[in-house]
Order: sequence, then structure tokens, then C-alpha cells
Amino acid sequence: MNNKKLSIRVLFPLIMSISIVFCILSCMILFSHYISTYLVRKTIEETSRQKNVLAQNIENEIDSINSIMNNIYYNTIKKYDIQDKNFKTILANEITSNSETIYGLALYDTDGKNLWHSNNLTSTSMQNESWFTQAKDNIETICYGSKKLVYPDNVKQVFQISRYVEYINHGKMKSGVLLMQYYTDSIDAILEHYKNTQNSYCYLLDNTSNFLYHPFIKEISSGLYKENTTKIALNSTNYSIKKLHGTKWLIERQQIGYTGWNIVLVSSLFNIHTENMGIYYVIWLLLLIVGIILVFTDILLFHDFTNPVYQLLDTMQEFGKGNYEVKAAENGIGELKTLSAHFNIMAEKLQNQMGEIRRNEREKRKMEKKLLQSQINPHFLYNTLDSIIWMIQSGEYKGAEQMVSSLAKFFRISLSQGKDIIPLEKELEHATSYLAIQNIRFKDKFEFSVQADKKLLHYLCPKLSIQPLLENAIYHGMEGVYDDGEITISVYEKDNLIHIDVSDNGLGMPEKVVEYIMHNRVVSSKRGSGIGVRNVDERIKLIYGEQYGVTIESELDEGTTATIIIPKLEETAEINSDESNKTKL
Amino acid sequence: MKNNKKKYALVIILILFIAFFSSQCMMTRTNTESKKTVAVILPYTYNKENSRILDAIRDYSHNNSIILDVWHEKSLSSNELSSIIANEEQNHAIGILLIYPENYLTQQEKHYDYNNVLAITATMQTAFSHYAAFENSPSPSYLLPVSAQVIKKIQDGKTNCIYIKNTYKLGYESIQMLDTYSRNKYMKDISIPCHKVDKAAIESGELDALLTN
Repeated sequence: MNNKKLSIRVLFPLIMSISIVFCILSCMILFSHYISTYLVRKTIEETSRQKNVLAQNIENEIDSINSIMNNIYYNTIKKYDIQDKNFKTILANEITSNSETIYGLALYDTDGKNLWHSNNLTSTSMQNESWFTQAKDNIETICYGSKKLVYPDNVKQVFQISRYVEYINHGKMKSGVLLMQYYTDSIDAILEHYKNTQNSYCYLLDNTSNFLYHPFIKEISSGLYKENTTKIALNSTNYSIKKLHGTKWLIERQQIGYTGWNIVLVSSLFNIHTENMGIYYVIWLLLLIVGIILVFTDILLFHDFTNPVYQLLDTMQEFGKGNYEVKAAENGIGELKTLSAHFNIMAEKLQNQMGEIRRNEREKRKMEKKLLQSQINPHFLYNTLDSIIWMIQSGEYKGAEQMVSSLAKFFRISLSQGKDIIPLEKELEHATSYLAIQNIRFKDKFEFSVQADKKLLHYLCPKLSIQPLLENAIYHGMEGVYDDGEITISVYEKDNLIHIDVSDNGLGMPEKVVEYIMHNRVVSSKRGSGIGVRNVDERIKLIYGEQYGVTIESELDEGTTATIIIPKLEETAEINSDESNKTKL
Repeated sequence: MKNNKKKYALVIILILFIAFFSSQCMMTRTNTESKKTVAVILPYTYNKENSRILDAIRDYSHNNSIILDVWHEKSLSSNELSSIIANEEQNHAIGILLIYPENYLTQQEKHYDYNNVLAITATMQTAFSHYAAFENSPSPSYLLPVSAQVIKKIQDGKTNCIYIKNTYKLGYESIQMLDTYSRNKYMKDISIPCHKVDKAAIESGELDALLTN
């Protein structure tokens, strides 16, 4: 199983960077698309404008041609009889004055028979010519037919322009067709104004889709070039964009007046993009730079944000290793700073608690040590043995026997196989053994009695709890008492708790002394257990809780009663194992 | 940490510098096709027959970003030709086009072995590694442009037909060959067939553009 942890320091900047890259790429694509669209739109507008200009110019030229045609018709043909000398003269003059634009004029009747022609035309019947039939069929309009080669000095081309006319022959009005052959130069000149290149050019189609003008007409005639846009142009309404030979072309078409001619403008869109590549490069480069800066900034900022977190992490790790003195630097902003501060508070509290636990442990061990020590106090032993020797030497064998027995009982219970909590019965036995020994030692200075509720004797009690109080009672309570001292041990139940009273009828002690005994490590006698009343109190509190312990009531000249309050705790297996573990230790 | 911030700041400043200078370069950069040069050596005196060849060369050059370096020579020795060729090669010309060198080369029996030279010639095909010429044609044959009288005779039926040599196509394909040579280092001879012109052909209008002067 892969247990590698993915650091947020890597993950978040990575996610941010990917997002930034994605955004930048999207922007690049959108910009490119927008610029492409904009350039295409601009090209369409520009081409359209140029197309309109060209169309307008051609229409103006056609208007001019129409004016000439109408002028000839209305001012000569309709005015003069064709038999009249003036008719021929005026028409000849018309040709002469417009020789640069007009190649020839001719008049035909409705059967195509020539009635009059200029010098460079023939009298051949034109009945089958398309311009003738068109003019006959369209009485109201001037018809623009196909081009024709003519040979004035050089080989040139002319438009064949015709119209229906009414002429006068022998005083009678008759119908006919007027033909004017008009040089193509003027129209060519208009179209040549459009700067034709291979990527952007214009051409003119007649009403039968033949080229009237094409910048590459020589290449087309030589088979070196083929114009593929004609059909597309004629099928589109205004403009169309088509892909030809792998590149996109803009094709715009406009019809010229009523001639049936079409002007077509063709522009390569690939060229437009290529020429404006600089704009693309600049935008892409700028977006790329912005992207790089954003990525750097995001890494830098995230690094700055996460530094305090990682410092806190290091501090926590140090703390976890056991270095409780370590403190987190309260850096960062907002919640991050608060996090460090709260960690420090928590660490301090934890430190304090651990200190307290250590102190308590130390105290407990000290007490256990003392307890252990007290279990075999040599001074008491020596004194008691001395007393026994003295009694034997004195012949008080009974007393000595009693003392030895009590001593044995005393130390047996003191040791109690290393247990700290023993049944109350045993503790009382221990206490009475002690009292018996002391009584003999102190030559019956005092009387003692034990009043215990038998029902409570099986309950547990901390070892060496009563004996220090008895010590107190003997060494302080019996002071100033000669032979009427009384020490009473009472064991009773009150409020569901066990009360053990050690009372004496001694001199009592003032409040201050009681306070002193309770709050100071006062040992009644160096020859005693070495455990003071306070220790007994602390031990009880340690074992059972703060609500239990030792209290002392004393009245001067009346006596003192030290009371041990413990809960009713029966012997269980758990307590036994705890005790056996302590013994092992 | 401060050192890291300094590093980042330096990198960002460096990137901005690069961006600024790059964009300056981009703005001044043009994306139009780079121009190529072709050297054209012509006879000194004007010849009507060369006009269509020159028209074709100019038309092709205009549409294909080619600059023409034109030489007009009265007479040219082989050494002088070599010198011109060497000169043009130094100026990165993609090829040299000789138009009817028989009108100015002094040593016509010599073989001129140049890979990047194409000669439009009627009589010196064997003298050059690569040439462009018309195929043999029946008579009467005419080089474009054809005079109006000849066309009129056909129109009037006085002449049945003629054969025209399309000098425009000759010139166009010659310079096209040199352009192709610049890309793939391959050149071959050009042979243009003649075109029959009769009354029907004239009346169809297909050859109007070629016949028009």
C-alpha cells in the first residue's frame, strides 16, 4: 500500500498552477479566436467597401456609355432620316470625337440587315448575333453583350453594346437595332486600380459567366492558372468563405446595374492571418508571461502562508518527541497566528499538568518509600527488644512474652506482604499491638480500648493509618498524664463512610498546633513510624480522593480526637493485583 | 525566506525584461514571405517578341515575392557571363535566366555548364545544361504578340490558320522552373508546344487575352 503523504505545499500550488495554465490557454484560444474573427470581419468590411467602390465606378462608366448611346439615338437616329446626309456626317463625327472609346457604330433593321455602319465595321447581317437578339427582345434597355476582338492598329477588345431603336427611313418610322463597339480599356482601367495579387484580386463576369476582366487572364488562356471561385461567387448572395487548396478564401460578389455583369473580389484569409501574426505572438507571449508570473506569485504566496503551518508542525513534532519546552512561533496571519497561540497555551497547560503528575508521582513514591521504611523501623525495634531484654532480666517473663507476641504481630502486619491497603481488622490488630507494646514500655501509663463495629472490619484501610495517630496520642496526648491516660480507638459507620476515631484524654492542643500538624510534615517521634499525621491524610486522599482524609478535633485539657474518614472499600481481585504489582516493584 | 523572495523577484524581473524585448522584436517582425532574387539577362535592344516573356516574368515575380535583377547586354563573353553568375550567386540569387542569349553571347559554340542557369533560346539549346524553347511547329508560326493584320487575315478567311508560339507561357514557365529549383534543387528543360489559331479559335474568344496587344 502506498503510504506516501502528498504535501499541501505541493498539491495546492500544483492545482493553482494547473488552473492558471488552463485559464491562460483558454485566454489564448479565446483571444486568437476573437482576433481571427475580428480580422476576418475587418477583411470582409474592407473588401465589401472596395467592391462597392469598384462597382460604383463601373456603374458610372456604364452610365457614361449609356449616355453616349442615348445621345446618338435621340440626337441623331431618331432625329434624322437615314437617307439624309447629316445622319451619316453626325454619326461619323461622333465616332471621330470618341475614337478613343468607340471603335465602331452600326445600325440594323429588325431582320439584321445593315442600314449603316462605320468604316471599320462590315455590312454583314447580324441576325444571329446574341447582342442583336437581346436588343430586339429588350426594347427598353441597353444590352451589354460579349467581348470581341477588333484590329484598329493593334489587336484590341471591345464590348458589343446594343439597343432597340426607332429610325426614320424615307420619312417612315421603323424599328431597328443600334450597335456600338466600345473599347474595354476604360473598364479594365477601373479594375486595374484594385491592386491585384495572387492573394487578393478582382474579376468581372458577363451575364454568361465569361470573363470580361481577370488579372490573370493570360495565365488562364495559357493554361497556367484556373479560377475556381466563379461558381462559388455566383451561388452566394453577398459573400462566402470557402476552403480552397487548404486555405480559406473570402469571395464577394456584386451585380452591376442591369448589365447582368458580376464583379467578384477574392481575398486569401490565410494571408491576412500570416501578415498579422505579430499581434498573435505578442498576445500569446504576454499571456504566457502573465501565466508564469501568476504561477510564481501563487507558489510564493502559498509558501508564505504555509510556512507558519510547517513551523507549527515541526514544533508539534518536537513536542511529541518529548521536548516540552519548545514553543511555536506566533507567525502568520489571521487564524494561522491564532493556531500557534492556542498551541502554546495547550502546551503550557499540558506541561503544567505533567509537572503536577510528576510531582504527585514523586510524592507517592516518597510516601511508599517511607511506608516501606516504616514497616521495619529499627528504632522501635531496638527499643522494644531492649524492653523485652529488660523484662526477661527482671524476671517478667509474662510481660516479655506478651511483648514479643505483640511485636511479632506488629511487624507481621506492618509488612503485610508488601500491601498498602489491608483489611481494617488487620490495621486494628496492628494498632492494638502497637498500643500493647507501648503500654508495657510506658508502664501502663495509659489504658486503651478498641470499639469497632464488626460489620466494618472486612473493609479495607490504608496500612499504617491508625498507628501514626496513636503515636501522636501517646507522645503528645499522654504528655502530662501520669497513669490515668485513656486512648480509645473507635470504628463506626457514619453517612455510609467508615470513621476511625483515635481519641485521648490528654491535654489537647490549640488550633494552631492542629493546623501545624495537618499542614506540615510533623513526625511525632523519631522513634516512631516516621509518618506524620499529614502523610496519613495525604495518603488517604491520594488513594480515595480529596473528600476523605484525617481531621483532628482537640480541646485543651479535654483531649484530642483524630478521625480517619475512608469509604467502604471491599477487597477485590483488581486491588489484589495492583497490590501484588506494587510488591513486585 | 528573504533570500527566496529575492530570487523570485529577480526571476520575475528577468521574465518581464524578456517579455518586453521579445514583444518589441515581435512587433517589428514581418511575416511576409521573404523575397528571392532572380537575375535576368536580356538583349540590349528592345525586341517585341521578348515583351510577352517579360510580362510573364514580371507577373510571376509579382505574385511570388521574387525580385528581378535585370541585365541588358550588347555582347557578353563567357568570362563575363561567369562573372555575372558569380556576382549574382554572391547576392543569393536563386537562379539566372538568359533570354535569347544568341543575341548577345559572343561564344555560342561553347557549352555553358551551370546548374542554376536556364536559357530561353531558339538556337542554343545544346549550349546550356537547361533550356526553355518551343517545339518545332509547322508554318506559318508566329511568336506572340501577333500583329493585327495576321489576325485579320484569319478573320477574313484569307489565311486558313497559323501557329502561335506562346511567349507568355514560355517566360512564365521558365521563371517558375527557377523558383522550383530554389526549393528542391531540380531543374529540367522546358519545351512549349505551339498553338493552332484559326477563325473558330479567334471567334471562340479563348485566345483573346493572348492575341490582344
